[in-house]
Order: sequence, then structure tokens, then C-alpha cells
Amino acid sequence: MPSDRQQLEDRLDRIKEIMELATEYKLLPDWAAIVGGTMILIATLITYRLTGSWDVAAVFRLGENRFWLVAAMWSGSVLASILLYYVIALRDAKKLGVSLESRPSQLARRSMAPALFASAVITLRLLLDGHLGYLPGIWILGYGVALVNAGLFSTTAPRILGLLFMAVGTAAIVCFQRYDLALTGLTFGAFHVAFGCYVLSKKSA
Amino acid sequence: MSGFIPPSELDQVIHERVRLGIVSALAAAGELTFVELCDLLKLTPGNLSVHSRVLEKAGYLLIDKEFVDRKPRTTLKLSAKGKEAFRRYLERLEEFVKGRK
Repeated sequence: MPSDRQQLEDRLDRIKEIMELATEYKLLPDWAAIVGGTMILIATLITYRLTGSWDVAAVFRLGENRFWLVAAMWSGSVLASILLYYVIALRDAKKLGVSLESRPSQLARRSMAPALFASAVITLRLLLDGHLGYLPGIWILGYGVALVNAGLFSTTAPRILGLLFMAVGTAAIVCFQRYDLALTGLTFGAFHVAFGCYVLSKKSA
Repeated sequence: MSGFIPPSELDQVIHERVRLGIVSALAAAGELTFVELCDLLKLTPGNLSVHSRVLEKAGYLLIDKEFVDRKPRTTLKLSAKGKEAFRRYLERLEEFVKGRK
């Protein structure tokens, strides 16, 4: 049985925790996830049209011009998605009168970094060794781990999304390497669109 | 214990753990839908409904019910009285925890 003093301190901690969580909740990406995911889906379909294969390795067999076109399209889509996320998050934070630098935001970003760093290091090694087929799976899995970590400081939805990415990433590495372009579109594209729709539906429910 | 504030001196409507969660979340987010609050505070609709009625009865909560795309949507936000009560509650609680009272 906690003492009265402990009970009151617990109340103060709970207030802080819930106020931070509520702020985070309002800043979960909706339209940013939908638009970003749609861009990735479009990039996936264009890549498939150019290569005729669901295997990302086929991109590296394209002529130099087409290869750079695909590389620029994917880099552009990813950068535009990240930029869009920040623009919308900043707008929402301003509307709510809160800072993006809240403790849960900082913790979420920091907790994503190790998994993304590990993915980048593995990517470098695979590029040097020419094992390009593993790249999509590594990034799907790594991003999933990053989301699960970030979700520890947020609500359950990002954690579930992260677990789905991890499951598909594992499948992409272990048994579906030849379909890794499709799995990239499914995860970074369709999963993000579905997540954005889920957040929107919660906000309007 | 010096500086002790018995819980009875705190606003008992807000002090209850679930209601404190509701008020804190609404103070931070401005307004939230019923579904969002259930999700955020891990409450059942029945539980949230009971506690939000207590807050509404005390004049701390404004509950707005409307239809959006033919579906009912309930939005909750703190009233001016609720915001003031939460501010006072926080002041009292901080006074106690810092031991200044």
C-alpha cells in the first residue's frame, strides 16, 4: 500500500507521462504516411515497369542511364517523404502549441538511430561484397526494429507496424529474395498508407 | 510529516487516477475524440464514459457529439473551469512534492 506522499508523487509522474503521450499521439503521421507511402508505391511500380522483375537486383542490370534514373527516383521519394513528415509534424505541433523536441520525441528518434545505423553499416558491407539482393530485406527489417524501439515511447500502433516490417523483412531475407522489390512496395508503401489511414480514422472516429 | 497535504485538500474529482489521465491528456492535446482517449489511456468505452460523465457533471469537461459522414463522433475538451481546476490541482501537487507547503 503506497503512502500518501508516494501516491501524490505517482500522480505527478502520471500527469507528465500522459501529457507527453497525448502530445505524441496527436503528432502521429497521417497524411505524411499516406502521401509518402503512395510515392513509394509509385516508385515500386515504375521500377517494375523498367526492369520487368520484382527482384531489386534487376535494377543493377539496367543500363547506366536507367539505373541512375531509378536511383534518383527512390532517393527523391525517400527524401520527399522525410521532408513531408517534418513539415506536417511541425505544422501540427505549432497548431497544438507544443514542441517537436518533447522528451518522448527525442527518445523515439534516439531509439531509432541504432537500428538504422546497423542497417547502414550492413548495407556498406553488402555493397562492397556485391550481395545486393539482401539490401531491401535488411532495410525492411532494420526499419521495423527502429519502429518497435520508437514505439516504446509512443502508443501501440507504431510498435505493431514495426513488428509487421520485421516479419516481412525476415521473410525477404530468408526466403523471398526474388520478390524484394514487391516486399519493399508492400512495407514502405502499402503499410505506410494503411498506417496513415488508421491514424486518420482514429482522429475522425 | 512537515509540508504534507492530505489528498482531501486536492480536488477529488481530478485526483482519481483515471480522471487525472483524462484531464492531463486533454490539457496537453487540446481536444481528443472518445476513441482516441480510449486508445491513449487504454480504457474501455464504458470506463471512459463513466469517468467523463463525472468530469462533465463537475463542469470540467465539454462533450461535443456530432455526425461526421453519418457516423457519430464524440469530442471531449476541457472547459475554462476544468483548465483552471487542473492548474490549481497541479500547483497544490507540486507544492507538496517540492515540500514547500
